[in-house]
Amino acid sequence: MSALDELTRAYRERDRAALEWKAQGGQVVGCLGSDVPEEFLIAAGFLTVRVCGDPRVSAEAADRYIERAFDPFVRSQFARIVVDGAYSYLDHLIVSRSSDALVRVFYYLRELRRVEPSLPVPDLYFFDFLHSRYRTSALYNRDRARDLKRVVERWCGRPIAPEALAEAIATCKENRCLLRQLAALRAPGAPRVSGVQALRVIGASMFLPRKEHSRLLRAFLAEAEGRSSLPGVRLFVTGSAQDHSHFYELVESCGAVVVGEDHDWGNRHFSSEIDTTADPIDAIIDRYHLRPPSTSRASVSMRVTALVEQVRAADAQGVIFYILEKDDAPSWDFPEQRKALEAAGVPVLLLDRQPYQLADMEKLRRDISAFVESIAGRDQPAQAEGRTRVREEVVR
Amino acid sequence: MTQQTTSASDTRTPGWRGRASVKRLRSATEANAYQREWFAGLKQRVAQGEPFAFVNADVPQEIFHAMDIPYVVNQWWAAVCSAKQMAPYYLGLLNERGYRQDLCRYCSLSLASTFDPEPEKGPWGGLPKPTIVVTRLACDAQEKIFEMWSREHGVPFYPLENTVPLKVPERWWEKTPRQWEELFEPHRLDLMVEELKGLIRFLETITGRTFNETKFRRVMELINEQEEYNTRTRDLIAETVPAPLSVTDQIPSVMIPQWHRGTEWGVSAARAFYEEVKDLVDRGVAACENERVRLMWLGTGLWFNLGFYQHFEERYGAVFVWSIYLGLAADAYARYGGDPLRALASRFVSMEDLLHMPPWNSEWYLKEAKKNQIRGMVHLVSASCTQAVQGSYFIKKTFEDAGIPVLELRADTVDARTWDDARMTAELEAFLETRLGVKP
Repeated sequence: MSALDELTRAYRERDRAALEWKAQGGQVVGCLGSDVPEEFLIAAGFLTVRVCGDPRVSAEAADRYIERAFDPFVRSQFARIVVDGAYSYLDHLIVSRSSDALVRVFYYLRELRRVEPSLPVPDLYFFDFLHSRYRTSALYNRDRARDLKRVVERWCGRPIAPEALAEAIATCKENRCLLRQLAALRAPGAPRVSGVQALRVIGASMFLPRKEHSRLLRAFLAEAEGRSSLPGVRLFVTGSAQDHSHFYELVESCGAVVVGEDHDWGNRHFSSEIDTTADPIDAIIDRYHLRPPSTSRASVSMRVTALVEQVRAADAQGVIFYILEKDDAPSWDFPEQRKALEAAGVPVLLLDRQPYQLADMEKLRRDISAFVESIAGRDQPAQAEGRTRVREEVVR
Repeated sequence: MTQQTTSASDTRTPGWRGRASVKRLRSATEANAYQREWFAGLKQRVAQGEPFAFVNADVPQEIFHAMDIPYVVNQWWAAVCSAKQMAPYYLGLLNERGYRQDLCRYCSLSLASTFDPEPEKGPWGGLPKPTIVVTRLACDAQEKIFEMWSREHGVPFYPLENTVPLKVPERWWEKTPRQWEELFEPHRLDLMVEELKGLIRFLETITGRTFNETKFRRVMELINEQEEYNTRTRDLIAETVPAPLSVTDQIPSVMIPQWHRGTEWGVSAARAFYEEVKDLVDRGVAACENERVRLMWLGTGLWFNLGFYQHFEERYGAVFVWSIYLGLAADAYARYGGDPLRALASRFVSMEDLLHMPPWNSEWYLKEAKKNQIRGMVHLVSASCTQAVQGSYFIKKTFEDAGIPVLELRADTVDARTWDDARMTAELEAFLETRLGVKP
């Protein structure tokens, strides 16, 4: 089995590594949201897994507990915890303040543990991490990180030694560094790794022990560096998070290559360096606090600037906004982001109010194909034919 | 079917209009009159170059009073636009700019109103241009909406952070007035105090006004006085059967003074409201002589259709005697002792929890329901705003476990375009007849 096969397997069988870890006597902590500083957990000897949804499974059974004002990805995550019991194996679950919906999910989960104790909701902790880029928030976050460290120490029954924390920081740094090398193979200009592969490789790091993921990733990078560049219109994906690769598969079957994204299950997962020379708390908090903004926790202007920069860095020829129904934050960002991109000569495609599971595939395929062809025809008429042929082959 | 779909190309007022409520109380009429006069004065002051702040409801307005900076509250102005049946037109202007129709409308309607090319045709001659806009980062949309204000109108924007409690207190309403320091986690209060200090310095710099500490202390004292009257009014309504008034009179009588809390007028209006209710009770006057069932309206007001409530009084003797507005004024605002800025921080640090988070909200709602002799609860569940969804499962379970039936109505609080009046009326009538056993 190649390194990519192993990473893809970890991406598909998301609980496998965690269950093996448990079988060997280890403890597993779930992370709901993208701002949980995994460094503390790794330093304490825990395996961390990111809580995901499942677009194949209806979340309706959870609708009695959670309102439909929440986007379907969050409702699916909630359903998997509360109804499916998919995370009953977790020793603890940390919810981070990564979106307003997740704040409410924390309240709901906590209250369900009280009023419906038979439901399989793991032991809970909330990490109250602020995103506004002010000194007051930076100091507040440091205090919350110290609180979290104390809680984790209580969970593991011993203090986290400075050496252990330093090693965990180095482990995470190395993994993110390797993931940045992966990003470099997607852009600019001549991508050698498809968006689907990249999404799976990145996602696998949320389910595997980090050192194991780094080992596999190193092997994959060595293999991928020798590849020739992929044909297709280079697209950037923004909007709602993509915790599964189905949408990327569809896009790349339409003659495109996804060369970058700004959501939490893609490039944002490993963006920003951590300063290993600084105090560990400072270093960890700065890394999470100062990385490119997520749509839920940033002003429109921050999001506009960040998107234009990332699209330019990825050398993308177009941007797809894929926004789930009820996911309001990216919809507030969209009009200004569109203006800025179009002013920069970058065409955009809006796929709005989407269900969690891809629906009306033929319409989506038509819209994406038309978008891809319009870019191909505009940018490189001579190469467009070749790409169309490639797309047809993929579709067949 | 009376559902409306209106775009900005339609006329300013839609074909279907919500019903205005019929005010029965002098205090409600006087509060509305005062607000109109105050608003006219505000426009004059702004025209003369004075600063003017536009703030979200969960921003501590006491600071603006202490600096003599007039302000308008986002949700109040949205409610006025909605009551004037302007929401479809204004929201259409927002939608024409590429914002989808089902985004949060309560918090964006005021902004949408400023896109009107003829702003003077707005309610009360339209909203003047603010000098500064301030909000709390209590949901994903707030920062985006208020930054749009800032960029659209070239005015500075100041965001205040919002935090989440890890502890769940029991019976918080008993501790808010005097035990607030132990009720709220110290690190949350510490941060909020720092946030307020930053806001004060920012306002001082931007407006040239000085924060008057003496006036601020007086503002805090006046608010306690005002809320004491509101508590007495709430208690009086709760214990009086049939109820002397319903929510249609309560809302203006309590909320307009609440937006002016910390002023002498706010206290006098709250006192007048109490005295008028007391007089009604003493004379045995009821909102509905034929009161047969007392209802609770949970959620924000149905601003475009405030007459909705009165139909059920007339047809069923079903009286909405409780809304969050008077209950919250009675239980959540008063603060005694301690440093006044920290006391103010404690008033706002957990506003979101008290209103929107179970079990803070659900247990308090039940306490209020029992106190007000409620037999049925109607819960307006927002279909588009995560901030306004508040754990409807937990609220319903808490009430129904206590034997109080619950009806959930899904609608937007300001947007009449998606309101189906006939269906909503039928749903509530069916609830009254089948769950509460009340016949016309």
